[in-house]
Amino acid sequence: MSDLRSGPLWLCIELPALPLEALALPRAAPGEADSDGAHCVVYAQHGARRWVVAGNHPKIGTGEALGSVQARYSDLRVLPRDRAAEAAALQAIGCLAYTLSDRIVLIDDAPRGWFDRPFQAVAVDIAPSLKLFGGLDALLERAGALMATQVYRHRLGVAPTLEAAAVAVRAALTPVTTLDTLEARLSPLPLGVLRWPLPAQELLAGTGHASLGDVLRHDAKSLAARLGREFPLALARLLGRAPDPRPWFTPPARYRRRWDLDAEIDDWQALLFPLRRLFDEFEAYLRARQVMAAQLTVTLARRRTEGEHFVLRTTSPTHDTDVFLRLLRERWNAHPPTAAASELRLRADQFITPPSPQTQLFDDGQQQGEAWNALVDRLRARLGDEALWQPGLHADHRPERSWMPNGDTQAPTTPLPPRPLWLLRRPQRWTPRGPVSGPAERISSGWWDDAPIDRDYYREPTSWVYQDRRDGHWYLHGLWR
Amino acid sequence: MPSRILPEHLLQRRDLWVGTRPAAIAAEPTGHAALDRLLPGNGWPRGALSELIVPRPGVGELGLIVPLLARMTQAGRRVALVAPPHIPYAPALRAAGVDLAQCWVVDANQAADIIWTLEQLLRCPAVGAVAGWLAMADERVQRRLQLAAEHNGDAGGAVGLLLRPLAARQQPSVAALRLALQADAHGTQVEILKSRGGRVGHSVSLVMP
Repeated sequence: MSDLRSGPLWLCIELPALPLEALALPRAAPGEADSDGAHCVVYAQHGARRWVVAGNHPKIGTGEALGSVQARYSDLRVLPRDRAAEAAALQAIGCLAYTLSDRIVLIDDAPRGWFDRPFQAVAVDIAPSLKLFGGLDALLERAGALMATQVYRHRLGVAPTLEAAAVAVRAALTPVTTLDTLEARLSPLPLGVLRWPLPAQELLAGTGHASLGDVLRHDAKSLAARLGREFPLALARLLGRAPDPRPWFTPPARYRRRWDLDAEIDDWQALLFPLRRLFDEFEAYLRARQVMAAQLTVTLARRRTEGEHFVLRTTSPTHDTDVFLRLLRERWNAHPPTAAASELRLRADQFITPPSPQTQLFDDGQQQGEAWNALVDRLRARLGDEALWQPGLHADHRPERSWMPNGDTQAPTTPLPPRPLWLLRRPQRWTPRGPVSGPAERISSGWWDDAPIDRDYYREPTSWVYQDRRDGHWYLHGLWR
Repeated sequence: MPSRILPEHLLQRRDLWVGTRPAAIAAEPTGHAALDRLLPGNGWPRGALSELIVPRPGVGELGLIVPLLARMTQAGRRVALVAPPHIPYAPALRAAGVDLAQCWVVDANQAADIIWTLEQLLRCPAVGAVAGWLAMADERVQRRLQLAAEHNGDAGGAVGLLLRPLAARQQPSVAALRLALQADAHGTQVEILKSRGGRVGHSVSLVMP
């Protein structure tokens, strides 16, 4: 196979157990696989019929009627499909697949009828990346390693068209890399792997068509006359004879993720486990979009309530979500969440495209700056945003207003009489022990707003005091050293 | 004189301490020459804790450390004041030479938060000096902070200053340097209670502006 391919090559990553894995369930450990309590199945419903679409019991297959399964295993947990959770999980895997290629299509096919499975997969056009990863085998290995970090089971199939790749997964074919061999490889397969609508499939089976090759013998016109115009087109797309336009998956511009917990959890330590998975997904999203985030909102809520928001901010934007997780842990260490939660939500709206890095070989200053930024984040996460501030200057003659938290730190100094190093947060009543001497500094200002002052300040040995000229009382306002 | 009796090659050894000669201690000048002369290393020890016993706010503790803050900030290193009892007044700090852009204040009420904050700041290589007002600090806490101060020993380490109330004077302390402050007529009386590698018992009266 030459490295220069003209057409696409699709890698189809099927997620056969997505309806189950998209839910927040404790996974059955290998050792306890026999205890029925750990088993659960997810069912689809159409009308009054319910059937299993995914489960973790070794003796229950997909497509079995839920009633018969429940009759056999009385303490089985049964859950309905959660389409929103499945879609979110599929998107997360789509983001993850961005490390393989940027041409991605999400496939989310519903069951074709009663007792059928859905088909959920992420298809990646890997043709442009083959050279980068050093060939198909290395790329498949990479894809396998990527999925191994996830909770999702997966099956892989490779073929030159998207539909053929899906067929290759369903039929467990070894990779088909060229269009020339595609028809020969697909012909012996049974019709079911096409996932055509059930009436068409039954009609073909009833007229003696056992394999794909039997269908391919007909010309397009006669097939269209008997089944409908879309079927010859589907075959042409399958074999790469007609274009197969699909919308590319792109990560959404704003990040929203909801996660329903299995039960209400009031111990925040226990929340960190599902949160880690969500944070990993968020990191894949950031990497897929090649952006960084400086703010992330984590919400803990009971079902469909507003919930408690935790806004995590970092001083410098990052794509390393461990930073956010550390901040959250720090925050909860100091102020644990007030209520139990059954739902987690992640939200991020603003992203920053990272500037191209300009690193120097010996750059202590930058390293220190990063260490300091991380420290500021930790302090703010635990103590609150207001707890850390810089004393700054403010252009005002009133002593209590001539400084400001996080005010101007560079303003030119104005020639003022000496000022004390300590300023009291609130002037305290003070009684002179003797006659107060020395030159007074009269500060009379602020007549234009709500806090006018009219005072005579005096310098005592250790304290800075004033007499309020409006009521004659003495106050202590500062300490000199 | 011992230096005449000892052979030269023994004097070269770094692990031999000669009683009359102060051990080499990495230190930052305090900015008060009279005090520097009494301290081993001629200043605040770096990578170590110094304890200042302050009977009440305003006896001169800020005046004592402001030259250090000015020196550090002008050299581009960050300084932090943790849980100060009053507002460190920006115009006065500025007039004393402190670069406000490098000066930070952390408000915290709980002793646990203050200790945690001090620990974090002392461990950060970007911080040159940390002053913390801490009423309660048993030996365990002090050791924690001492370890944090030693954390960046290679890079010189931060100057850690603990400002403690009068009650702390009687408690044991692991600090490398302990000073007791008292206001007097013209400034501040500083008594050296403990000085690792130096001599104790001296007092010096500092005149402050």
